[in-house]
Amino acid sequence: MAMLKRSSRAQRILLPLANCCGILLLWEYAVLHGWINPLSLASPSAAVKVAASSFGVLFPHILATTYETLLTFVLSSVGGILLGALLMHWRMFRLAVYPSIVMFQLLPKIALAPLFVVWFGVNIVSRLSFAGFISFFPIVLATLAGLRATDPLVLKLCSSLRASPAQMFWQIRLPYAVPLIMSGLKVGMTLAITGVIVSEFVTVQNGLGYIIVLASSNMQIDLMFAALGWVSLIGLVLYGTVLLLERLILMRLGAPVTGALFQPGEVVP
Amino acid sequence: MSAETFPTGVGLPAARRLGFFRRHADGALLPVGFIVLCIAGAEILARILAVPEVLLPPPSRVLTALALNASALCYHGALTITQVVAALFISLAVGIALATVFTLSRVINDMFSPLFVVLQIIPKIALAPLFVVWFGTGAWSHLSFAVCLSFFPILTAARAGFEETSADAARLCSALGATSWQTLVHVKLPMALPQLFVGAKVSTTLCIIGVVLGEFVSARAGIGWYIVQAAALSQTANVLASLVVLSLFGLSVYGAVSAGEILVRRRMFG
Amino acid sequence: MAYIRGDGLRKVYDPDGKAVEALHNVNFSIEKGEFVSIIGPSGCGKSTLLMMCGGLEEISDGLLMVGGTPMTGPRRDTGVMFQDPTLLPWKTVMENVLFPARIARTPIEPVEHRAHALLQSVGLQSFEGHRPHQLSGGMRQRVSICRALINDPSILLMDEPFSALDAITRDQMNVLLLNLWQQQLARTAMFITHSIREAVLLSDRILVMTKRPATIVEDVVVPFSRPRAPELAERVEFNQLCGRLRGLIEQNHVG
Repeated sequence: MAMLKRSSRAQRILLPLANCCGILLLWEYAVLHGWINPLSLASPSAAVKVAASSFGVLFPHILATTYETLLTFVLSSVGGILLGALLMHWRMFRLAVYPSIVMFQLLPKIALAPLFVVWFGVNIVSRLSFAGFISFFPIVLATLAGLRATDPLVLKLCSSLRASPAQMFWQIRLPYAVPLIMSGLKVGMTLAITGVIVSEFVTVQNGLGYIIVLASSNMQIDLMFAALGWVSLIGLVLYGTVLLLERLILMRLGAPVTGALFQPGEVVP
Repeated sequence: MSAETFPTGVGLPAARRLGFFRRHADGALLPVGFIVLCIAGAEILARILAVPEVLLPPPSRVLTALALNASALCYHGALTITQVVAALFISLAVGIALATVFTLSRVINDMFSPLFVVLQIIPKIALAPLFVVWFGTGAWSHLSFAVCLSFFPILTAARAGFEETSADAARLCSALGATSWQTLVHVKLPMALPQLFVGAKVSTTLCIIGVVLGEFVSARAGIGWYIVQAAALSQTANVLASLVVLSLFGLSVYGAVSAGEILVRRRMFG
Repeated sequence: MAYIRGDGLRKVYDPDGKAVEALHNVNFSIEKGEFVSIIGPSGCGKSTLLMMCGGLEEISDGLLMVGGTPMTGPRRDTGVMFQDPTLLPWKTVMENVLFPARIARTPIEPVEHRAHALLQSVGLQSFEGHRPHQLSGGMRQRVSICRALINDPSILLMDEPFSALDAITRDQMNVLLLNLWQQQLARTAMFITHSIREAVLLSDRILVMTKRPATIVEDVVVPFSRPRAPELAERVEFNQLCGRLRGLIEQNHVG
């Protein structure tokens, strides 16, 4: 028969796990036996060893990166949602400013990372402001899009029921806006992480990004991989948390939750 | 309904075209006014209130910087954008190839899909220095880093596009005895093209980020390198001028992809 | 000898552990050249049965023979029509009709002659270069008929092909199919529909299916001689037969 059968649940869980183990083993073997230059690619065991032994040294940097990312995310989210709501409700302001924000979004803002160092120096302020700068605007746009996404028929219904503007906002617009806002928050978290790491590359002062650059210049590849491992973990945990939050909130609201983790338009650099 | 009444946009009467402009002129007043206000305000702040140039160069200074360094900026900009375009094409090839493999083989799909999902989430931006270790400071390291960042949206879009093929179309192919490969080439791939362009637009953005960041970390030329040099000398006006050039080049690529999307949609789906 | 024959056919779906029996002990036989309609309640498995005859669904139990051989997979001599015309939007009408030949990798030239003739017989000869989005629903279904007939199939399987059309277009399509059927070489056809009138007008026999788990509970011969004309639908005997079938279906609906 030409129809492709669906794979069983067991197949869908065991195959990738087996595959992962296989890849890790192959990687380890390859480095051990010199097929891969250990100066290019640290073996998994070496990375874990270094991660453990240098944990004391790495810890303040892990903390710094995590803390800066979280702080950026919180500030961007709160600020972004507020500005989005403001744009929604103040028509003049929106008409004047919205096109500029959209155009602004098109600029490759990441290119300005060194400029933030020029402005604020080599410190946490420049890192936070750069990361906030990148992650703020997508949240604004997502919030605005979400608030505008309310079904016009529902709005008409509310008008006929003489609902107050506050009621319209909290009871109707906001719930309808949640899926798009959550989408924006996912992008915001991604960009917060990106922004923090890029600025750590550029400020070379603190954080896991700093460690990675330092390790690369000293050819300490296993330290580099250890740091990369930590960055991956932090990224997974933080993004995963937002993802989980999104699913929980959407389920609570009874909104449709797609099976796919990524829509084609979602960016995760 | 006869086929002769197929609507086209060409040949609107002149009066309707004028009305179009009039309506949109009103809508454009506020945002344009806002932008003009910002630029004028920046100019005034910078000159009259003597805000240091490092912090806020007057827009006129930025324009001067653009003019003065035009050849250098164009050279480095062109260098960077060439790498961006190359990275985009490679990403397309890699993404579509992987999506094809995943679609044709259920086993490989099950084995590798979760891995790619995880890879997609981790902050690959942190890998920039690693690519320098591997490939040195030349264009190859920036290119491969950019591809590493940007093939994921293509992969996601291609897979979504392939899966989107309606159950009926898939059944039709089964009924005709088409092989998986024939189904992919004749039906799934054309159907997926619009989605692919959406993915390509996202990918363009990521290619730009990848190449520029690569140039930040280590390079001897390119707009990213130029920005780092200018920033080291606190030449804010030059940095902003570089941003303008990078944006123009970047938007051209993005615009080309968008134009391609519109063309394909129109030609294929009418 | 029967051309299509089902003995004790059974179909069990197993979506994540819970077995659902769609078809249970379905027995039928169709002679070569017969036009047989299948009617029954929605979701009772009519489409499943049709898909099995087209080699697109696996048989859980029982025997299905087509042309004397057991059914193993999609066959070259079978043409299929679905409710959705499923035309490829980026191909022209002509390219859509030629699509099966392209998949089968047969030489195109002789097939092109056939395609022209088929499109002419359904009245679309001046639309060969058009795209599906330029056609109405009825026109698209006509292209779908041509595509189903391009390989000169001996069996035609149709799954509610006219259900999505408006009433007037549907009547026109019934007349078209009736004429096409009676003019061309006799083929064997299985036709699923919800419309009793449609079934009576077009078919030689009508099979009535029950709810899930479905069996064939009635096998009604349509006694009107061929060639038939559309005016048949106004005769008393026609409406009497429709009424009788309606009663049969309602009995099995409740049961």
